[in-house]
Amino acid sequence: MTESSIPCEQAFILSQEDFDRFARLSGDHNPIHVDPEFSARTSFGRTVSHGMLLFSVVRSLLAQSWPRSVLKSQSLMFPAPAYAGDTLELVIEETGREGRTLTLTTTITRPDGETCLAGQCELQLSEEEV
Amino acid sequence: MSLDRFDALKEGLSASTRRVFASEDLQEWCDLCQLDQTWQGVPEPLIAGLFSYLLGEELPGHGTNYLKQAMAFHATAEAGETLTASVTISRLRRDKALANLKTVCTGHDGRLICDGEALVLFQH
Repeated sequence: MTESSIPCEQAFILSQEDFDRFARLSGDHNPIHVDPEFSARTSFGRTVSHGMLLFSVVRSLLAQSWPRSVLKSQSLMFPAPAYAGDTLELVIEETGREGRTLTLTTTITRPDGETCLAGQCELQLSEEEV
Repeated sequence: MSLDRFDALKEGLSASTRRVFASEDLQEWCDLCQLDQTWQGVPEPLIAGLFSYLLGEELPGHGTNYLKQAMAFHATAEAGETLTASVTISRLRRDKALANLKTVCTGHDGRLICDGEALVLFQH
């Protein structure tokens, strides 16, 4: 039996300013991310985070935890939208380890328990990190 | 619910974009993530953001509901390098209004940086 462990977790809050900055960086200015008035008239009711801004939070926690590792693969699902101002919880769990390759699940949950990001990744660790 | 726009999609349809990330962009990404370490090459979320941009703005375009993205990273994308990202429709499921797309990013010399697949819901 293999037990999963939780190497790292982080609570964070994204702001509309963060959405705007990621829009400028990515070139994705879709109004659902950057226009509160437009978004108020959609089924979401307010602006939502870019999925890849959520991935950015995941990627930076991976980098902080394993600074010399290389990201080999990442899968992402975005079941529910993430809103500005909410406290979001990122949890990274180890599910497998083979040689220098670490398999992790990455999950971001919002205050009502809905999942905003569910993913899996493979990190190749450096010699010192194994 | 209308499938008029879905029905305009065809397997094999493709959209692409070119982008250069300057070292200032990489620093801005680190600042946004509150990371105080220097980053080697273009962070993967900015590569992924090229696919996200193409899906949301070009193919299928506005109204796309991004469900899944899988990516394998093969080489580092360098700051200042012209990157080409493309999305190509590989499978359409009209009954569920779902589209699968191959997603590829290559470097200025054609080397493969990232490949993978996206799944989107496209209905109105």
